[in-house]
Amino acid sequence: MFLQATVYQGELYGSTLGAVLLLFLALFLAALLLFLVRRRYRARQAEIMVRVTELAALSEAGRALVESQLDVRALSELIAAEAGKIIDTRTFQLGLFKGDLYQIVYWTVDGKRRPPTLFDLGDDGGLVGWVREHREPLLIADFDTELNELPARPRYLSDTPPLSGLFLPLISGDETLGIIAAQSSEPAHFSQDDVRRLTILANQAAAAIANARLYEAERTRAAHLELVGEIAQTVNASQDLEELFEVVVQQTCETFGFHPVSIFSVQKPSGDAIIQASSAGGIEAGDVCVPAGMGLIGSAVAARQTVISNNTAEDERFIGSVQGFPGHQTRSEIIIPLIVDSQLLGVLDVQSNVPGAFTAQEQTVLEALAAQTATAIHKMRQIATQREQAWVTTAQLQVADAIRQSSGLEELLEAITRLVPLLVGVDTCTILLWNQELRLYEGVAAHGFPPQVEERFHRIELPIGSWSALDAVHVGMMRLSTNRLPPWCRDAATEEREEQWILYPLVAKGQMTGVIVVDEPPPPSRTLQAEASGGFGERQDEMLRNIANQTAQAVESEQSHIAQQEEAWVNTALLQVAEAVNSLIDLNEILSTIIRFIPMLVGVESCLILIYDEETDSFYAGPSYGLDEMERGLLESFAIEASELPPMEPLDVSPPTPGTTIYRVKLPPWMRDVMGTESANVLPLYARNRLVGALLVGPPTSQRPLLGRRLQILTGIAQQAAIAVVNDQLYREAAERNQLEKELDLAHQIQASFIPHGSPDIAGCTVASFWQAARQVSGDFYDFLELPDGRWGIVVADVADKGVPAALFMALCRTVLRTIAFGRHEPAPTLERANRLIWNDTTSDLFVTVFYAIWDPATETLVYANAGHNPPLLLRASGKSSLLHGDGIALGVLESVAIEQREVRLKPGDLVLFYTDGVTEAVNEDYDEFGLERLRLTAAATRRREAPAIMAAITEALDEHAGGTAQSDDVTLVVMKRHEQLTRQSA
Amino acid sequence: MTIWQRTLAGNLVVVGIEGRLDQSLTPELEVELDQVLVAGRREIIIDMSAVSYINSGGLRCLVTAWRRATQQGGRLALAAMTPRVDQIVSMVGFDKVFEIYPSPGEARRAWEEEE
Repeated sequence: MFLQATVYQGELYGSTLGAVLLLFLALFLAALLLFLVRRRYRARQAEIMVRVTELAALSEAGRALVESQLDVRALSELIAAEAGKIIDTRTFQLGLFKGDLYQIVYWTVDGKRRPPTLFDLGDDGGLVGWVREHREPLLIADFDTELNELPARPRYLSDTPPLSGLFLPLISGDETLGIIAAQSSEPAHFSQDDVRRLTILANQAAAAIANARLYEAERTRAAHLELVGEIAQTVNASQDLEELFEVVVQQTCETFGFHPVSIFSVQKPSGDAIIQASSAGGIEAGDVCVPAGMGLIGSAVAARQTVISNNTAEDERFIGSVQGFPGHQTRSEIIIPLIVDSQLLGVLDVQSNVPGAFTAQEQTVLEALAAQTATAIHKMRQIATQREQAWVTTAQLQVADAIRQSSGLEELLEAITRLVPLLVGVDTCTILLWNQELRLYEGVAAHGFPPQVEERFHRIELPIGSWSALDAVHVGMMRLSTNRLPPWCRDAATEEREEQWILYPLVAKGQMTGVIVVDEPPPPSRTLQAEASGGFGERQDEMLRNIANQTAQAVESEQSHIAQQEEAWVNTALLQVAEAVNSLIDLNEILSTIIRFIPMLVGVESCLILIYDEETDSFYAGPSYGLDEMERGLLESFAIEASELPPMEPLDVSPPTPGTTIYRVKLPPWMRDVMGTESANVLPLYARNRLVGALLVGPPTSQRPLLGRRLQILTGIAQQAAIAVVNDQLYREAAERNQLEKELDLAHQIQASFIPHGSPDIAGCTVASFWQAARQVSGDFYDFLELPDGRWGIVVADVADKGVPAALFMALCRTVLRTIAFGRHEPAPTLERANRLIWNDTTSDLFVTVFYAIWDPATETLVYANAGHNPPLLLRASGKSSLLHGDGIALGVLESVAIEQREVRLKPGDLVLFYTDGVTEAVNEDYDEFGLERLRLTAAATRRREAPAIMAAITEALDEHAGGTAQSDDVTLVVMKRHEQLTRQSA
Repeated sequence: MTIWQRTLAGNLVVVGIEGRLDQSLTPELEVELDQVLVAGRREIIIDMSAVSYINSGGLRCLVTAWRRATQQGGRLALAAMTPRVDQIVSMVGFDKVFEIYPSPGEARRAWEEEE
């Protein structure tokens, strides 16, 4: 405006003068202008200088701020100091927002510092809230006058409220980080200029704070992650899960300052959370169980996601303390699932007594930690599994190795009982084997017991019924658990064991061969450790089943090997006995040899062979073992009546060994002393269905009953002995028979000498005779007696029965008859007298039938008497035939007899056949008798011939009829033929 | 080929023989009659109806029993002999030794009447 005026005046005074004037004026104006400009410039320069200084100060402050601490707290100190250079900061605050919380980081009231304080802005944020929300500075000159015009109600925090104030937002990007505010008790203490200048500082401060925060966040994060890394390292170095959990909770607690920190495992399938480790004192693994779905932990388990509660007081899910797990101080809690391969292993539970302790940052860090932990658990489980597998493999190999290297069954089982505690982790292991013969279990191998218990175990024998658990396993062939003490532990001296015992059956080829007994370890605890190893009990069980299997196979093969060896041995032993028996002849020698074998092969204290004598029904002592001279002498001097030995009750052998018979007998009192035992085992010696003796066996040296192989051997030996005895008897019988045969031959010769030799020369007749004994000696006989006056007596007799007694009786009868016949010349009186003599003489019940005829050539008559004999056949020359009957009775039965005497005239050509029933009753193979009719027909056919020829024809016919059939009766035939020529001679 | 016996009242016993009374059956009959006699039964009726044949050994066996029975005050009868056996017994003259009846019943009745 001033310059415009000057230009206007110059145009008014015109041309030259005007021009000079104008020039002066111009100069003046210029000088004035210059002065003014200069002044103005100076002022301006001063102002600029001030502003530059101010700006320099601010920028220095800003630089200082930017370059200064990256720590928010130190930064706030600096901001306050810088602000103090601009305004009065005696009452000043710098606060930062954290969610709904407002934290005054730097605070002075009337120049006095106050500690940082946290405020909850809540719904009504007051002026601070307004500034935060609107991001605009607020200048209040006088609270009192402006109160109603303020955008929000101030929240007084002092008893002496300020009159003026100033609020500036700290803005960084979209976020209002905090507030800078100053107040004063004087009105209008702060100007717009102050606002302007402070705004510049606030902007720089905000940037610095944002940076610092970022930096701090980054640094914290880095630090935390570093810590997580460190924890992870420690975790990975942990030897087992227990240690791992302990490290995680302790380190998390120490590093982040949260308490308590806990790890829970999650049970399957219940979903119950079981505590494994906690920084809270006095809590052991398994102490706390949070049921599924309960509380924050339950929520996290159910959702398999991190659950955060930053204000537990208002969280419905929060349940406070659980079972001694403290929760009453908890204000914030974060629960992070431990998940690997979508498998929920457990949860990490971190609590704090400060509300809002778990921001996204804590969540990130703790989740990283949880992931590490979960991985570590998983790895450890895998390692544990591998270790288990390796262990199982190694254990199986070890067992297999032990089985392969053991040279005997006992050594093998000892090795297994030593291995099992090492491999399976039990304290004791015992093996009992089933003895099929004795039907009981025997202690074979034991490990882990005190010596006296092991010693007792090795002697133990458990029949069925002595340990119910064992019985059950024996029958069921199944693993069984019992809390009843095994019998070998039942002793006052043994400390009371409370544990369970498990019995594993040793089953091979469907048969019980024995049992393995181990003490059961305590049940697996509810720890993740236990879970990680896949249930230790199951492993043990699997391992033991496997060992039981291998052992059973080994036992079975070993036992069958032994059985084969034993069988071979038995066979060899019996072969030796047989050889000895065969190489000897004398029975006593054979039996002595057999007796010597018995103690060697069977192991008995004494044995004795008794030989049975059928006739006396008694036993006689044969060779023996284990008896002294006196005892033997005693035995030999007595015969033991068979009735003294029974009752022979078969020994209760179940199942009976096939082909063996052994009896236990009570010995007669006198034999008990001799044998040194009350009852003995007796094997009857049977051969060819005859009892030939007995083998008495005293007590076994081993106290074991005689069963199985030993019984087999004994039976085999007894058979050999029986054969030896019976062979000897047969041999002797044969010898006796031989002797008897010789004697009978002799008797036959003697008897034959009684029989007339050749045919006597009887006047008017020809005679022929045939005599054949069914055995060596005969009861038949015939005789020709030359009586005075040319008469001839003809006797045909048949003694009842046959054999030697009959032959002797025949000799008697012949003698008697001869004696009497020569004195009395009548047949009937002769026979009657003979009867009396025979009856007197004989005590036997033998009798004799006799036909006695006297031929008187002078009268041509045949006078005869028949004492019960077959009536001779008279065949007349005319062809007619009749029998020479006569009333009589066999001699020797009744004291006195009456015998009828008859006579018959014999004409030339007449034929008389005297015979015994051996002729008529000669049978063929069909039992068809030769019969009187055949005899008659044969004789009739040849009656024209002489006596010898007729007789030959008859014997021929007899032979033909019998056809080789052995005849049981003696055959006697006498043919007497009246001369045909008599008529010619007389003529 | 069997031997049977039926004990009747008192000392009376009937012994029946079936078969050939020769060496095949005689030893058995001996044992049987011995038992009867040892048991004190002395009144013996032998039922001969089923005896097809008798030889000297068989006769001797019967004679022995007869002798023992009579010595002990008893008696022995042969009953119901077949013609052939009867012929043999008669031939040997033992019809003079044994009491002979057509049937065991008749023997028994006869004995009872005698008493």
